[in-house]
Amino acid sequence: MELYASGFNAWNQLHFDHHSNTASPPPEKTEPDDIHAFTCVLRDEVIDHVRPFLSYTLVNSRPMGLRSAGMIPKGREEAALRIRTAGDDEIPTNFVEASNGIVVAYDNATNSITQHPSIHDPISNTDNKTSFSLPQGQAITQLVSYSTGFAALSTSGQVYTWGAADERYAACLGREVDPQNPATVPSHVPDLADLPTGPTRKLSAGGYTLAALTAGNDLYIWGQPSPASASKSSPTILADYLTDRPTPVDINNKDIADIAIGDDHLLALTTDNELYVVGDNSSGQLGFPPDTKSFIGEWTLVHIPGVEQGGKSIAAVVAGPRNSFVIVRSNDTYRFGRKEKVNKSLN
Amino acid sequence: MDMSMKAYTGTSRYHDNLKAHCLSAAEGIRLECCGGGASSPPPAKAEQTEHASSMDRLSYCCGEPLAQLLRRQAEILLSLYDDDQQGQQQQQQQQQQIQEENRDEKQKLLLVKRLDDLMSMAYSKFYAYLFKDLPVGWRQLYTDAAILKFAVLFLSRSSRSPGVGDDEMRRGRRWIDETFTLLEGVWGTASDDSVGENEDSNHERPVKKMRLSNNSRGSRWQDTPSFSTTELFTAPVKYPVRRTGTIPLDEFQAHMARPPSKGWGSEPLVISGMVDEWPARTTHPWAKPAYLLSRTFGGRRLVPVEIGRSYVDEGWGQKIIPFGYFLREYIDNLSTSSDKQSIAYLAQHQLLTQLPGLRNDLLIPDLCYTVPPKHPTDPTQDQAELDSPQLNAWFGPPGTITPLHTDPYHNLLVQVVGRKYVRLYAPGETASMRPRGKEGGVEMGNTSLVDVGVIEGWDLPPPESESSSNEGCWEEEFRKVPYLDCILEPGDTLYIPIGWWHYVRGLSVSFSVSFWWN
Repeated sequence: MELYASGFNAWNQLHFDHHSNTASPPPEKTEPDDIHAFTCVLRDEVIDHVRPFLSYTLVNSRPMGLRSAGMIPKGREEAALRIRTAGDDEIPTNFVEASNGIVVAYDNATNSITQHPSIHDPISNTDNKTSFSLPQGQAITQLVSYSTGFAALSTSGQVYTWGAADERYAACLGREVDPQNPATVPSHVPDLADLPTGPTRKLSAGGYTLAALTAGNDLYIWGQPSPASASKSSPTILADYLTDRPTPVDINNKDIADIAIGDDHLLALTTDNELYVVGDNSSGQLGFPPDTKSFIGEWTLVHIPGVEQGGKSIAAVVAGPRNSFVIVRSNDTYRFGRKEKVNKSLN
Repeated sequence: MDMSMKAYTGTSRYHDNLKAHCLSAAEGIRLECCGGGASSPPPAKAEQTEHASSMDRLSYCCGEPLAQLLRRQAEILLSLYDDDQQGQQQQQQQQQQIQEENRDEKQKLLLVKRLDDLMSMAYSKFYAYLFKDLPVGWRQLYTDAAILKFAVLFLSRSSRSPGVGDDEMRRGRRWIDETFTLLEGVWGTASDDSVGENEDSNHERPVKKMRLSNNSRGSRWQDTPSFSTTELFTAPVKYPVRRTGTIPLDEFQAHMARPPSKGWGSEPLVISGMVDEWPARTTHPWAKPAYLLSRTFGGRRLVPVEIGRSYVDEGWGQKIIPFGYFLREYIDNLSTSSDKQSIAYLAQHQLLTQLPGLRNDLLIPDLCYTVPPKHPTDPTQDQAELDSPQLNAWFGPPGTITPLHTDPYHNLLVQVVGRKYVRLYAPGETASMRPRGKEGGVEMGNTSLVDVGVIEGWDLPPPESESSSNEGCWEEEFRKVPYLDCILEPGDTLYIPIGWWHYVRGLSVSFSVSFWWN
């Protein structure tokens, strides 16, 4: 399989050292440039986890194992290991961090979500923690964070949303806020229950936008434009979808296989293996040169020559805050029936 | 005089000073963000202790990667524009030069991009956090990246000039103020007055000329037009606030300590004549657009304004626009276009911190050095003691409205230009003020749901207001609540004690300054 990437690369977080497991240090005094087209950055037999952060990227691939690129802040991974409460994965996936530093982790042993004011908060400090228990039989399979809050998906396809100690930006909750369902407590999103094409199977979130993908490959989006970029906002197709209620999104009438959301950009993979992008491209995160297109207002088809010519197909899309990743498999692998777990769920 | 000084004439002196100013900022940033990478040698010990605290703050708040990214940009800037560091490069062979210039241009573009990246990353945090919780490091990161971006834009346009001194200066407000002074010099737009603000320290100017300009100062703005005094609507005063002439400190202290009745706290008071000597009311007339423009880089300085009638209205928003544009479009064009477009109000802004040139036009009233009483009914409103009075400017066209609200401090509202109507309700009436709750996650409890203008029939209710029959009930009750009111004339000062609800309405073009203290 191959990992293609495009966009923000200020810490060389798109440059994997092919020969060692350690991230390559930036060369002296030269500023690493961004990558403005989807480019192959990593190859291995199986690539099954990609977790992009602002300054670094973690990838789990086989047989090479855990790979990292960019700059990992000192102590951060240790803190992450401490805060995660379960799971043997090399990359902890059962915790997420919002832009205001608040972190939540899911403990499937106790079926509870724990919220910490910061990733560096001592795990033993119970004063600062908040715990939310979930209804019986509703284990969490996915946690995502947006700028000021979180969303969680349960085994039965229920979606919960809440603000990280913040009642602002209520549109990102996609639900009513009332005394029974306060903004800052996980509460389910009724509009995502009983959808025509089945329950939600995947969530994605970034910036102030959230998305749910149903079992029947329909895409629903909710949220609001980023308040920080409101002044330079260009007209975007997203303005039609972005409300305080989950709204179905149509991309050329196609079924949607995967969705990924960055700070201010979206990637959608269709079931017929086409990649559509929309939003901010100022770092090249949509795979176009930013000097010609710094912002893309409508769903736009991206061609990746290496993928199309090689008879390969896209297995999954992943978005970092300001960059994008596409996991590619050769169709041979697919024919042999080796099934990769992509964006593997938590348990 | 040293012969070499002759080169420093006209704008080039400012040019060199501004260049040095930019480079010293980059050097400061490079030293402070020394952690995180191996690309520069560790600084000497003295430097380390001096800069450690703010470096730690940046690293701690924003994370080591961002601190390192910022430092890298400072280093690249220095390598591109600091002549000392460039000496070695210039010795290289000529044929490499064109190649090098291309490389420099590329480096410069990426440098600007990275500074934009840093600014937008920091900026997005201003929204992700509640402002009170925002770690200060994000503001430092934004400021430093913005300063470096200014430096790149300025240095890349400037011609090469001889080496510069590298005096150490902390960045932020002081750096920016000095930059604007120098930039006005570079531009050649500086009036004698604004650049040579400290005229006594300007030894090069002949004494005779100085005296001449001093004499002509009073008349300098006299012949320029003043703001219009037209009032679209004049609110009637029914229960006037007590008035007094200038009041000695001890008398004022006694006044504050003497509440007229329980639950009132001390009583509001209009003081006339207290600010007659302010330059803003005499030699540096704030009533003259030409004067204000001369203090704002010819109107180029950016100011935040509120767009919309009142901050509780639908569609209200904030914008940052050039001061000159604000004057032209919102303050001075009332005669030309009467169609009521949107109202813009430069409200509750620390304009005088932003523009120190204007700050010198007023004096902190002595009355702010009294010890005022605590909040009369609600001790939770009392704030930590301010080190010095907090100044805010309020500048807008006729018809601006500040809805009924309370402040967490005692307030002296000085009317510098134009007239304002103010209505006041005592702290004991808080229950009748219909305080708002949390709105969209923002605490609005200090602001009333009542629109005094609508209650009085001065303004139309908003179109979609639900005026059902039981709404009339509280309106009747509200009309019975006792109040005080007044019209502030130019030169008047209104003392608003802590806890008093007040509604403020600009009648003409109006420029006021408020002093909060406790």
